[in-house]
Amino acid sequence: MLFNSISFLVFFVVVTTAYFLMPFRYRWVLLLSSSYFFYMCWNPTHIFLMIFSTLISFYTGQYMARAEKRSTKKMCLVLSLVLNLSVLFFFKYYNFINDSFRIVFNQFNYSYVLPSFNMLLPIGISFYTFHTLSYSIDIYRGIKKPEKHLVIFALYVAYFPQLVAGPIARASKLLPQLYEEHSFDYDRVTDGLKLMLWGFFKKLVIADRLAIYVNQVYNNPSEYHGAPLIIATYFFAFQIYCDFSGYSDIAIGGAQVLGVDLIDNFKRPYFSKSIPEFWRRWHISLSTWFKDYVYIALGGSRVHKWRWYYNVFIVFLISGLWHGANWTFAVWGGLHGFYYLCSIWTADFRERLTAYFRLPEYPFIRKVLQVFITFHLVLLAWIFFRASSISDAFMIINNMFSGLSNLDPDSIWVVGKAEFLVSVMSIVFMECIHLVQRHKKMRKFFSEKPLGIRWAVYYLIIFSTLIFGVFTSNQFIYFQF
Amino acid sequence: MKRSVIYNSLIFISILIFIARGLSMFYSEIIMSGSYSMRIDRDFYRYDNKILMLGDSHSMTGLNSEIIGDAFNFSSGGANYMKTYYKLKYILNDKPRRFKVLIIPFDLHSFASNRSDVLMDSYYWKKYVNYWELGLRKKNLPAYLTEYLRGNYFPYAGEFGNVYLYFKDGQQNVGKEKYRKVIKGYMIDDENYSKKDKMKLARTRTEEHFKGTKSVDEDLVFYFNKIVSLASGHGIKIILIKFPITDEYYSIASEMMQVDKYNAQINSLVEGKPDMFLWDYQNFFFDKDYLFSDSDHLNTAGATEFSNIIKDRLKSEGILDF
Repeated sequence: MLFNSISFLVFFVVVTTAYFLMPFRYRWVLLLSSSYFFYMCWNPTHIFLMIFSTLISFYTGQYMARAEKRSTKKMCLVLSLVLNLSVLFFFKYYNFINDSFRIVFNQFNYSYVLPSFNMLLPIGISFYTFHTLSYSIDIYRGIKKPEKHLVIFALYVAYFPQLVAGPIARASKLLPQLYEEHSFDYDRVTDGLKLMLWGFFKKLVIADRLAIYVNQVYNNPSEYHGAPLIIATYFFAFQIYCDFSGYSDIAIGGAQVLGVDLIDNFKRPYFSKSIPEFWRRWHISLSTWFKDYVYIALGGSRVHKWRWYYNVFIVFLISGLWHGANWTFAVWGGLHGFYYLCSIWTADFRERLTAYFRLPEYPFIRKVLQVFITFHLVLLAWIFFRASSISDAFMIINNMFSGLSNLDPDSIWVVGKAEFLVSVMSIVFMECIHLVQRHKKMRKFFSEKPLGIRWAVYYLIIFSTLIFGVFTSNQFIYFQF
Repeated sequence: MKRSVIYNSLIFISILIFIARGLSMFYSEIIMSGSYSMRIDRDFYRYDNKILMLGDSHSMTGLNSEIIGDAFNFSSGGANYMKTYYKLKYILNDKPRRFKVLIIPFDLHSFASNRSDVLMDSYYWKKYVNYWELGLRKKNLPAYLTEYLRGNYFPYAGEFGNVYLYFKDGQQNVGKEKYRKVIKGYMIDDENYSKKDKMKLARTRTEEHFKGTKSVDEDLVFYFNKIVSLASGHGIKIILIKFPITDEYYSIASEMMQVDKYNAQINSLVEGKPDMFLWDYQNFFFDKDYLFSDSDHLNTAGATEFSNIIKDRLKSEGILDF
């Protein structure tokens, strides 16, 4: 059941209505059963994997809390990590690693016979595995007490608004909210609905329309040179942002309607002035997860500087591979790791350079330059993220700068002039909203306006979404992760 | 909950429904009224002929109603056997009609599984298709009910292209096809395939029809049989035509599917049925590429020649003697 489907709208209305009509003590039944139903709409059998992961994490957590010896606690943690990661590894990475080994062995004329498995990647497995892992690690570290009720814990793992693509909620934040009694709060509900509406707009109008252009070019990279490749790359940067942040807005808004606050996942990331800042504003729930559970576990920055560089790089590499079992994602992660390290290594040099050009006297120009450079570094990395293979990515980079003299408009439109113009205008519109939102959230801004203006804006967004949206049930990009 | 909240919510939803209905009517009745589907539809209910042609673009561009005589070509681009069945059912239930001969395509791609889920142009098909029944049959009720809702209440959803064309060019240019002249449902197509990149075009078309698909889809067979039952129940003779295609299209299709096996399978659907006639013209124009607009559609010259052949055969076999 995709968020951008009628089925989901019907499902959400039914669940929300039932939720507020139902006595508090039975609400967990509704939420858990509807979350499982939501998940089973993709593939009913995959629910068993989620239940397995839930049971393992719950019971190892219980034993961990009861154990007195440090070694027993550690054993429980290892058991939880190994079992949860084994499932993730098998379904997500087995074929990738197997195929990679096969290629290497074939290079040296050795026979390699381990079979591949033709299996579907369970939706959201990377997300719910991270939910359960963070829970186990938090208990081991003593940050969190174990959850007493299995069903509430199961609900934490399966909570439908954030089940398939995050935001990755922490047990310490989400579990207490599942115990709270939420009565119908008009302001909170309408605020959540507005956020959902904005998410639908970003997904259906911007992301899916940009996808038409991007898919056409990136799926046939050898047929394009120059401008279309450059435009498609810019478009992809906004497509993936709108796709994922649109999903996050729907998830956060949906949870808000039901009385639960989820973590913000994006804070206008393309306005970042450096790569480290970009990672504080892009997919925040994942970045903080990696920081708390991998980077710090490796020693963080409180180690010898070479070890610190290694820690930074390895976290980005793992983050890349978390996105998908393909070398393109590893390169994407590696590239960001490299950027991050470069930003550390060149900090003094950049300071001297800006002083030489007297940029501190012109803070606005300095900021624009920083944002411009950061955005284009991110853009370069997106090429590897989107390309089907590394060789395709290099071909795209190579072909981008050939044929630039041919700026025939017909070759630039690719999928039609009107489509192209709507795509550009929708990006401009969104960025204008972002600029306005620097000072005040749009939802708050409009809630202070007279009723007529507010409603006019809502109708405008609803019908713009309907008319300009793309309704071909396009999956969210992050569903595949 | 405060009374004002309920009151405001009801007003908000009422205005929303009002605007949605208005936009829906504007799109269906004004913007799309110039599309070829709607023009043909209006035409059809003005005539009452002996011969009815249904089916997809092969019959739409291949059979000239005026040449065949006392006929109406009520085909629609992309119409599979499901849509054809519902259209026929609607026509027969609408009012008593004269027609006793039904001509439908029986081509290489007619039963291909990728044609089995054609959910599009619901602004037009909402009148004919029973989406509930189809959704149950296809075990995908949400998708078909969504299409029903879209056709009836939100036909403009995602159709910004048509809205744009309407405001840019007026009704002349809306719809999936650019404005084309139609004569009693027959669509004129003056393109000339022989002057195009034939192999590229043929490969694109065959890939659209056959790549990654099952040659014979059970649901399409099911609806084909329903067409046959419905027609015979009303004493209507069915002529199945394998429309002319180019040799490029045929040879590439042969690489993608087992043509002999497919033919044997679909021909068996016709065997032993006295009121059904199978006329095979698949390779009839293999050496005449100038009669095609692309690898599998006849152009105006091709349709003229082919319609004359069909007209003569209808006479010679005495099918119109009723």
